[in-house]
Amino acid sequence: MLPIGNRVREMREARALSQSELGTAIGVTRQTVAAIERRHYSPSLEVAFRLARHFDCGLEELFWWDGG
Amino acid sequence: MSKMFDIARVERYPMLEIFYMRSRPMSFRQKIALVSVVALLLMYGWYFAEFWHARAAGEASIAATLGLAVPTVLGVALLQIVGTVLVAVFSTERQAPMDERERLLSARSQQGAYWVLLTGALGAAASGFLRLSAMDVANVALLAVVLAEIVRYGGYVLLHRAA
Repeated sequence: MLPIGNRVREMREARALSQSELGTAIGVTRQTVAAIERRHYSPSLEVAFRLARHFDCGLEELFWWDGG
Repeated sequence: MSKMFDIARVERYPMLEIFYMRSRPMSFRQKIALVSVVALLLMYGWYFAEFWHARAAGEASIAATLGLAVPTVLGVALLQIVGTVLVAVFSTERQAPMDERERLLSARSQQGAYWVLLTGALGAAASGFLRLSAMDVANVALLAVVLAEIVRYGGYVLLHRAA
């Protein structure tokens, strides 16, 4: 598990979006959305900003450092 | 599904997910890469086994080797075409361009394949000094290319399952 935590699953589920729909909206595959949610992949800044824009929130509400 | 692949167990030991297809279905590109691995293993496995037997029997002529190589290349192409068509027919997922994570994993698998190819190329060069025939040297080089391709496609699949 990577040291960057995120709230992607929580925000996606709150908007009743599937991983596939979210992936299409931000330009990544369903597998990448799944990997981000499971903290197996830390997205680039560009994808992080796309996610934040999509959820209409700040970057730090969505991602945070959890590595100690 | 056996008890070893029970979902609770998979959640406890994430590495088991490599083998657990239901919780993380493969993407179109992963399936195509897997088809390529199977095609290469089957056809070149047959090719090298036949070549080895012919060589041991002293019958490894250029004509005989070409007689193996042509059906091997055609077989790989045919298996890949049939496999790709089957995957496309049964795939429910929209085929999207590679995203950043896929490009990263693809680059990593290519990096692994590069070292296999480099080692094989050096092996082929070294085999020239062992007074092996030109055909043997060519087959060592071919083996390196095939192994590098298997590492490239296989690595792409495994990295996706593990990452």
